[in-house]
Amino acid sequence: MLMVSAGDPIVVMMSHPAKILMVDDNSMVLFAMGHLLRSEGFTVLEAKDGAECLVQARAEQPDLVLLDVMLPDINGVELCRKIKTSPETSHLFVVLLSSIETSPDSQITGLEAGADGYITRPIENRELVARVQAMLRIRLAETALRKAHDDLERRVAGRTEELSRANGALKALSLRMVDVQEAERRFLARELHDEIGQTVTCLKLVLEISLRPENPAQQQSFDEALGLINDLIERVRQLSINLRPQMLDDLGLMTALDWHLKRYQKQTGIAVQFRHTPMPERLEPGLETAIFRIVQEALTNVARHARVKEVTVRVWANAGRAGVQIEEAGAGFDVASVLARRASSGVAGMKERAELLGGEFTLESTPGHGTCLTVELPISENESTSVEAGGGI
Amino acid sequence: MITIALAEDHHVVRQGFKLVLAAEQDFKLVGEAADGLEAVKLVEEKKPAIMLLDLMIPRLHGLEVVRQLRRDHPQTKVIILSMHADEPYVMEALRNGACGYVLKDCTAVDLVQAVRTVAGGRRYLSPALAERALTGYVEHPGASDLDVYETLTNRERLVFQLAAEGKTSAEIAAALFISPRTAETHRANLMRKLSLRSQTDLVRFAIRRGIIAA
Ligand SMILES: Nc1ncnc2c1ncn2[C@@H]1O[C@H](COP(=O)(O)OP(=O)(O)OP(=O)(O)O)[C@@H](O)[C@H]1O
Ligand SMILES: [Mg+2]
Repeated sequence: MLMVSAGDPIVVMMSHPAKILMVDDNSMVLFAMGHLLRSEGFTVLEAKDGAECLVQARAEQPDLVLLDVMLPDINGVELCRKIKTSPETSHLFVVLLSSIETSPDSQITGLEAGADGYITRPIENRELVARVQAMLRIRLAETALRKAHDDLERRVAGRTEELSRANGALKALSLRMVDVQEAERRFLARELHDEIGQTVTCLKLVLEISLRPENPAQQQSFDEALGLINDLIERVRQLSINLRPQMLDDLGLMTALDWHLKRYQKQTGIAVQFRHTPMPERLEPGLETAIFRIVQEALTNVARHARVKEVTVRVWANAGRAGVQIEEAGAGFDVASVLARRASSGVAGMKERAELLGGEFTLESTPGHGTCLTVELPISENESTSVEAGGGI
Repeated sequence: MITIALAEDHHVVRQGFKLVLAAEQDFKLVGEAADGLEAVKLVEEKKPAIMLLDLMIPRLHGLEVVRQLRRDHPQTKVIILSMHADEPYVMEALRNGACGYVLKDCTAVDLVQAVRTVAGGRRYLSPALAERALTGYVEHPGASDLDVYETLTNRERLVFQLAAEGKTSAEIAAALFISPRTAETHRANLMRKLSLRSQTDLVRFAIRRGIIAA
């Protein structure tokens, strides 16, 4: 039993006595050295030539191979190279034992052949044992290190997989969140418009047919009441539209966009040029929503930051992709610093929406020269897995 | 006597409209429906002169109901009741065969007027809509005037120019200080956008546009 500490906290216990394979053609040497090593508690195997050495090395997987450089059938250095290049034995620890005459040159050749150590003879018994033990310590430390390395690699691989799984889950979650938010907005918009809006509208109608003002004073308060109701109706209508225009579901992206651009133009005084290629009647609901929202967000930015009188909106569909581009020659800004800033919600939101749908988001801007935002999204053949209910007609 | 059917899912609104209609001696309400499918069935059974139809009715969208009624029961004239004053809805409804379009926040007079006008064979729009010269509204946006070349990003335009001059992706990458892979991606993207299949296509396109000299 051997316990080794290799300088760092890795401690390796050998579960069995170290196994040493001695290779020497001289049976006297084998006998004497074998005796010595056994008495130190090692398990000792013996081989008389290269062929025998290879067989044993393969079968026994010794912890250490002590290899005489001079063998009858093969040069020890050559044998060492063989051991080190065969996949079954390449990991074995090989120490060359010199013959009596050994020059520094032959040591170098031996080490170059892949030997892990070199012991020169003559050598005293005590020194030989000490050297062998030192070699085994190195061997153990190396094994420990390799194991630690393998563990680490496995752990990294495991973590990487975990991380990519978590990333996938996060993406699915974000996608779902966008869908849920959109569904919620659609619901609220409908509720506001259809329930509250219609009830108030009806209230107005009932008021009108049941109340007949009889004098100018009554007429005036009646008119005031009607005015208030009209304001309320308009407020509810705008609130609903801002949440989500029902038209997007009912009449499709292009009609809703066209309408939105006109409304934008009227509200902001910024002239909108709307250009598009022939478009499919309808796109998937998720895609229509994404494009509409991106145009909305980008145009809001144009009105707030660009200081321009004109903006161009382009929409196209070709080769399985739908694209949208918003371009103006306004103030411009430094894109990198805005993207780096965590606070930006508009630009980041558009980017995220595009990427969640597997699309590309390109934002180009030069301070003083204007901004161009381009998003391209894949049109999937089958319906998306989105929770959105889709249009009514 | 003008026979009228009323399709409206919102209970309160329906009561309100009934009140208005009941005040007219020569109007006769022959049936009510609370969804689109019922509305179609109601017309089949009662064959009213006028169908007052909520645009946002459940189960079958109002626009679809008009389309079917116009096809199968042209003798019944449809007047849309709607909360939407937006032109696209009005246009879509008229295109589908509605004879009138009345805003729900109209006055009682407006509704009565609509029924009489349409029963008399003419079209009717709530005053608020008629004032807004509907004709100015562009027909369904299908007109195409977008040149896809315009949609190339600035980067893609630079890559296009260099590619048209015969530069390889590696040379383009070096010229624009981007990686060859990025250059390759830009090139592939712009080819796809412009529906170009080969380098020859690309050069021909560039010459036609005067981007490079022939
Ligand atoms: N078209 C544009 N022209 C000039 N600057 C712009 C334009 N679009 C964005 N910016 C700049 O980028 C910044 C980030 O935009 P972003 O939409 O992310 O946030 P915001 O508009 O400031 O706030 P919000 O989160 O409400 O959208 C803006 O503050 C502005 O400085
Ligand atoms: Mg913004």
